[in-house]
Amino acid sequence: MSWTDEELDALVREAANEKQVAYKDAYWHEMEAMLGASPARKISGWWWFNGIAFLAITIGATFVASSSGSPESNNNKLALSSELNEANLSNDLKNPMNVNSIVESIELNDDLKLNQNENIEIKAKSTKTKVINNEFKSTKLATLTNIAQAYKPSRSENVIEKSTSFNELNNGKRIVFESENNDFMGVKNDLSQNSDESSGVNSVGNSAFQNIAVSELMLKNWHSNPTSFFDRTPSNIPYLANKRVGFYAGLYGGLGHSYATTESKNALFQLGVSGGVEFFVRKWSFGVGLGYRQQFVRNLEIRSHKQYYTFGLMNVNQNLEYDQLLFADLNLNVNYSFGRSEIGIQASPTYMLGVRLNYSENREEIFGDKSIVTSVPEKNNQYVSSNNFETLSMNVGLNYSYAIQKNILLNLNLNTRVGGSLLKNSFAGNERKMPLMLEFGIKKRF
Amino acid sequence: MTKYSFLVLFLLTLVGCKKEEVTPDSLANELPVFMIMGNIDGEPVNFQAGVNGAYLSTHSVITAGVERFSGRIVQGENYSEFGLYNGNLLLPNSNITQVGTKISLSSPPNVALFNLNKELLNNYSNIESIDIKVNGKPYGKAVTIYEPGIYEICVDVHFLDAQQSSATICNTIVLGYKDFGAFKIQHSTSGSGQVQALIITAGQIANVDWFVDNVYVSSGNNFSGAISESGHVLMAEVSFANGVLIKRQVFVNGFDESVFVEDMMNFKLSLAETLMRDFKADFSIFRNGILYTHVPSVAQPEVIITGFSYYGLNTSGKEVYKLTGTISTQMKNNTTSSIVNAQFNVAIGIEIP
Repeated sequence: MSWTDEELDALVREAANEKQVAYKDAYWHEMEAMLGASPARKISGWWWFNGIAFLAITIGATFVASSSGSPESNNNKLALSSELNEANLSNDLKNPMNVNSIVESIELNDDLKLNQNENIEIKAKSTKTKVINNEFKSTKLATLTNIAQAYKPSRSENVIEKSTSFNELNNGKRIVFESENNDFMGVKNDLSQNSDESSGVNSVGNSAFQNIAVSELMLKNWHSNPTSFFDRTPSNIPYLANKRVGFYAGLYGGLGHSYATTESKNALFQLGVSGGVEFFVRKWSFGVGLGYRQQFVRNLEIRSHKQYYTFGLMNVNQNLEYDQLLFADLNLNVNYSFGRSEIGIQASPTYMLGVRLNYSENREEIFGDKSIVTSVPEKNNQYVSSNNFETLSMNVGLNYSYAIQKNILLNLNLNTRVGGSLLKNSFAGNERKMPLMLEFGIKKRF
Repeated sequence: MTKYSFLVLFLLTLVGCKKEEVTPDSLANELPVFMIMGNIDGEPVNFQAGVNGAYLSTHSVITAGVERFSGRIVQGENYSEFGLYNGNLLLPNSNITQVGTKISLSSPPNVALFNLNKELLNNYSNIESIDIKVNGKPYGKAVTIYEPGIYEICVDVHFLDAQQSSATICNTIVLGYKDFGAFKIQHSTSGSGQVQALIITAGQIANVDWFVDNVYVSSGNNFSGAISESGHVLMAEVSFANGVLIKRQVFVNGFDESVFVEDMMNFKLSLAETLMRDFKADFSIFRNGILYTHVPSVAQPEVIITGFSYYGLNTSGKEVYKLTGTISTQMKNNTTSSIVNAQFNVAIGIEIP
C-alpha cells in the first residue's frame, strides 16, 4: 500500500517526538561562532560566496524537488531496506555528510511501517537525495538547515518559526513545516536535542535523530579543528577531525620598537621563517618549532674606547654600527581555537646567531713620549659573532590567527623581549628594555 | 616532503651564516702583559708596560759573535732589563727557545779568557814582530780577551830567519762558552822537509781533511808529508760527530823548526764550565739614578722559567717571545757597592729574530 501525506507526516512527527533532548548553550555558542554570527565581523568574500551559493542551491533544490514530484515520476517502486543496521551507522560516522542514509532511514525504517505494496515515488526520493547532497557539497550551512527543516517535527516545542517547504515525496505535493523562528534556530534545536544521543544510535526507531546526531558529531569534531571549517570536501573532514599531530611552516614580518629610546626614527623591521610540529587536543593546539629571524635595525651603534696593554699602552677606538641581527628561536606556543580564529600565547627562547656590522677602528700605541697611530681598514657588511650582545634571551607574546583557507592562517603577533638587555656594552643611546614588536605572518599547516 | 624541504632550507640558512670574531688586536689584553714586579731589599719595584707611561723595548744584539736577547721595560728615566744569552755555539740546530726551566745569571766578564803576545809564542826568539787582529780589528802586539764569545783571531808573524819570512794564520776560537769544536793542531818537523801533524781533541772526530795552502792533500787524524823550504799554511778541517765543522791553521816550514806559527788554541785560557755563559741571563735595574746589577751565584739557578712562548711581532717586525718566571738573586748597588737581596716576578718580552 502507499503512504498518504497525512500518514507520512504523522510518522515523522511521532518519531521526532520520541526524543526530547536537553538544550545546551555551549553548542549554540559554538554554532554561532561557526556561523560567523558576530555583527562586527567583516564579511569576507567567502561569506558572500557561501551566501550566494546557499540561496542558489536552496532555490535550485526547490525547483528540482518540485519537478521530481510530478505524477509522471511516481512509477518507481520503493526499494526498501527493513532497518538501519550498525553497518549503515558506521558508514554514516565515517562519512557523516552522506545524507542518503538519513533519507533512507526515514523512508525505509521498519518502525515507520511502510506498506510495501503502496507506491512511493522513488524518483522523488532519489531526486531529493541528490539535491541535499548537492547542498552539503556546496555549503554546510544549507545542508544543516535543510536537514533540520526536513526532519524537524512540526509538533516539537522547538519549532521552526520560518516556513520552509520543499516538494512532497509523493504526488508532487509539498510537505510544509511550520516554523516559528528562523531556520538557524531550528538547526540549533535539533543539534542540541540530538547531541546527547550521538553515542548510541543503534535504535531503529530513532534512526532519523541518530543520523542527525552523526552530523552533529561531525560538527563538534569539525569546529574543534578550525582549519577544517572551510574545507568543503567531505572526504577531508574525518581526516581533520581525527588529526592530532601536524606540521606547520610560516613566514612573518614585523615592525617594532627600536632598541634605543633616544632614536625616534629607529624602528626596527624583522623578517623570519619558522616551522615545527603541533599537537591538537580538542580546541587547543600546542606547538614547538624552530625559527630563523633577521632583524633590520638602524642607529644601533657602539662607540667604544678601550685601553689595551701590549708593548706599551694601546688606545683602541672602535665604531661598530650594526644593521642586522640574526636569531634562532625555539618557538613554543599554545593556541585556543574558536571558529576560524585562534588566540594564544608564545614563548621563544632565542639564541643570537650573529650580527652584521660596519666596523672601523683607530689605534694609538704609546711608547713613552712617542706614539704610533694606525687605522684599521673599514669592514662593511660583515657577519660576525659579536661579544657585545647577550647571546641568549627570551621573547614572549600574544598571538591571534585567522584561517583564510584550509590549513592556512594569517597571524598577528604582539611580542616583546624579556629577560635583560640586548647589549652587554652600552651603545650610543639608552636601551629600551622591552621593545614591542608587532608581526604579521602566514602559517601553513600540513 | 614539504616539511623536510623547509627544515633543510632552515638548516642551510643557519650554516650559511659567515661568522667572524671581531677582536681589536691579537696582542691586546686588558691587563698588563709585560711586567717586572718585585722588591729590592724589601722596597717594592714595579714596572708594567702600558702603566704610567712604561713600555717594553726589545732588542737582539750580537756581541762577540753571540746573540743576547733582551727586553727592557722603560718608565721615564728608570728601567729594568732582562737579557738572555745564546748558548751551545757552533752546534747546528741549537735554539734559544730550547732553554730549560732553570737558568743561572751570568758571571761578569772579568776573567781573562784569551791572552796572546809575542812572548807567549813558543818560538818568540825567532820572531821579529807580530800583529794581532781580533774579528778583523787590529790589536797590535798583544791582546787579552775577557768577553765570552766567538772570535776569529789572526796573527801576522815576521820571523828573524835568513829569508825574513812571514806568515799569517787565522783561527776561530770559542771563549767563555762551551766549545763543541775544541781541538788543536800539534805539529813536528824533521828538518829535512818532512812534517807530521795530528789533531788533539777530547771530542769525537768524524773526519779530518788536511789542506796545504788551501789545497787538499789528505784525510785522517794524522798528517804526514813533505813541506817545502819556504813554509806553508797547514790547515785541518775537522768534522765532529756532533755536527760541528771547524777549520784551524798552523804555519810550518819543513826545513826550519823555528819558523812556525802555532795554533791559537794554545793561548785560550781555561775556564770552569760553571762559569760559562751558555743560556745564562742577566738582570739589572736602574732606578732613581742607581744601577743595580745581579750578582751571580754558583750555588743554584736564580731564574725559574715558568713560560716561554712566542708572543708576536714588535714594531720593528721582529719576533718577540714572552718569558715568564721568577728571579731570586742578590743585586749590587753600583753606587754604594752594597749587595742587597732581590725577588721579582717577571713577564718580559725578548726579541728573538
